Amino acid sequence: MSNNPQQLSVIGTLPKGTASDLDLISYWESVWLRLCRNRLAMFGLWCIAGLCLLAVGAPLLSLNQPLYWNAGQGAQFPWLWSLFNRLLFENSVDLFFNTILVALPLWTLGYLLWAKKRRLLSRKLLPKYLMMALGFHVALLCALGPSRFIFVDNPLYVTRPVLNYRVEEQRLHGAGQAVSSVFPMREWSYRETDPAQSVQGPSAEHWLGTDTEGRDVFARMLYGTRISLTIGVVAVLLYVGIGVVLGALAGYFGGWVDNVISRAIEVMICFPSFFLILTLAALIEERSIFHVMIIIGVTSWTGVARLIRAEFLKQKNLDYAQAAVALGLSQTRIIFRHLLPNSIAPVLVTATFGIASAILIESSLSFLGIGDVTAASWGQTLNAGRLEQKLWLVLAPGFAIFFVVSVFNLVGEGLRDALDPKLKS
Amino acid sequence: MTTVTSNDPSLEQERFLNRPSNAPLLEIRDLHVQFSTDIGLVRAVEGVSFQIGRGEVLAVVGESGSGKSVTAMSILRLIESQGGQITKGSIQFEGKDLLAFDEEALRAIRGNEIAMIFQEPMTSLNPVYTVGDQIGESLTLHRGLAQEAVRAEVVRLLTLVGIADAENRVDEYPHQLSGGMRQRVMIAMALACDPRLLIADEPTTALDVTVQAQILELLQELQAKLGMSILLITHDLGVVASVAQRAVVMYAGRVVECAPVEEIFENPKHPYTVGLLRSVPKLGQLQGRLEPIAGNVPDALSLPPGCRFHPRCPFRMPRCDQETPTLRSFGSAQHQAACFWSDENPERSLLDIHPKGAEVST
Repeated sequence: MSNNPQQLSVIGTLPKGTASDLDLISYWESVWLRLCRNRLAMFGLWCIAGLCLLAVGAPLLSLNQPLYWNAGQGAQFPWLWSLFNRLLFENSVDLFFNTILVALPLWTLGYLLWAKKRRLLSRKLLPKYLMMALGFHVALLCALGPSRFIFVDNPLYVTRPVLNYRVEEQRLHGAGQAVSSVFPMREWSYRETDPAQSVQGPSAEHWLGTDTEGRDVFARMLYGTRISLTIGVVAVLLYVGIGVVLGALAGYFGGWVDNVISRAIEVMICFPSFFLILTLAALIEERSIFHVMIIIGVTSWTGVARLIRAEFLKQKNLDYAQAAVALGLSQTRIIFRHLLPNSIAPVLVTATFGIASAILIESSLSFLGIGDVTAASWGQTLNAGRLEQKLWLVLAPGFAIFFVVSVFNLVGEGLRDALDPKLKS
Repeated sequence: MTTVTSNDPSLEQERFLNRPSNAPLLEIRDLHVQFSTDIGLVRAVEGVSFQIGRGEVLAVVGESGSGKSVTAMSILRLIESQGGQITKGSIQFEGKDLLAFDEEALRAIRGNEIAMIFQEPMTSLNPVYTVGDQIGESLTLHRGLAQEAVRAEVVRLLTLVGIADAENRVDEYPHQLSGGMRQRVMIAMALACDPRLLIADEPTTALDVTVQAQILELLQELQAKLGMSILLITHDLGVVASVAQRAVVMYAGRVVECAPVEEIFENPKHPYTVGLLRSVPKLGQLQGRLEPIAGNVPDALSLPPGCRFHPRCPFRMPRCDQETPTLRSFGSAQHQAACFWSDENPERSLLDIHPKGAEVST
């Protein structure tokens, strides 16, 4: 980050009550500046940004559909249309990332126009714009209906016969026909099976080898990023949502509400969570990746609920909460607009760690063979490596899981330190 | 007062004088508030009655634990969220009984017709919102102003409470303001909807002396300008003298004396009021020591029988721990006190009798 180092060194101690330009920042800006000073956390953040880019850009890196294809019958662009083909991308998670990939140029254009209109091309606007764009995107996808959940056919999601252009190209070349084509960096789809090529070691063809069904491990690692990130974020959002609402109600209202919710939390905590998740997952016959997210979400909210409850118990007795009541604000407003923003900091930290643990749980489920078979989950490849006793099949997903989990933990730790500077000194 | 059937002229006069501008803005009658705690029932307020006229500044004075804050919190029914229970009495605001209101009706009153400012300006503002957001919130809520109008109005309010450079201060966060500034912001918040009654719960206690004086001056100015009534909760008699017109002295959950401010200072009729006056240093009177009131405020769980002040009272008489004195008028109907000694010696001034040497039980 290009922040003035001198400024940062002063921010680290955050002098209270001194009048200077430094005071003209909000609490979250000061947290951000402290986070920026933490090199490990910044490294983690950049890695997460990189992972997001990998997840979005995966079809550009590996897919058996050419960006441009001309076999003498005019120019074709199979890659673009294949992004919405159910036979190539069976999972809704892929559809989500593919639509983002297609919409990315539009977003960039929109951002430039928007920022120009505001006459500000500052970094401050970017997060806001990203949130808006992502929100719009998710809303649009939800409106179109994610497959499997709502029984309305998504017009963006089509089923069309797939031509394996890589094989086709070889065939045409063999027949002596001229073909001009531009492929993505690698020419493998993560679903393309080839029994003849099963369990091959790393080679120039398959950078990370192939698994039991002869699928390219590199492509599976790449598309696995999408699954892992989505699992982490959605599961955590889900349980943070549940935990925040229940914790806020318990903490704010107290009395029998608190009693009921606190007992429910205690009952949930009694179950060993991984076995609970395992049992629930085993009960579902046709598991999709969303089932896994929901299962993780509904079993892991207790920690967040307890944090928020404790924080609310403290905050509701502070004068500003009393002042809000005296101003005649409604309870919903007091809870969500006044108390929640003051109580959310510790939850942010647990949420970051939670993403890492949700990714780990999903990998474990896939490893045990009760994940979503249509998703290119890292755990599945790991399991294949265990069955086949092949090192490269274990190392690649193992490292990927290790890397993502550590990166999120680094950011979580940085966030914890940034939110509570007292902790460090 | 056309339907008064009583022929007793003194009663009619008393009624008239008790209500400075005929119908009081707020009338508290026989208020009882208690807290159920693990160690027992705490009767924080017992039988408190007083009234505030339109445009009047009334001070409620007392030590910590005398029930003055609880009384103030009861008016807006804030006490219920703190575990308090109003068991008896009525609080009439413009003829409507606030105790009969439901939550929604209360919200329409809170911040709109009755506003409140708190003791701690450091913690009374929400740290995550700017000053403008917080003042603007009640403007949109109660007055339904549009976004652009809100900002202009906030700037006007900030200027009104004497904040220089209000245009820029709007966008600042509470931590960027000094204590005095924050209290001004609190006052601006309270004034946002032009309330008819402002309850100020020790508004200057947490501030340093010079800022205290500024804030009090501001309150007086605003009161004169806007014509609202102010209920000032304080333990500082200096504040009472400079701002209030009438004062209610509370001790251990009861009103012990209620009088115009000059009467309180010149002719107090309750030994507790005298004790309070004697324990305040006076400028220009360097000789002599301050005379604190011996003993402590009684434990709310084991209140003494009879007059609650009798264990600390230098004028104690045998009946004081047997019977409970009631408020009686002295001189004018506006001056009331609850003391047996004054009842028996209505002409003698308590200030003339030095309590030194008088027996004080522990």
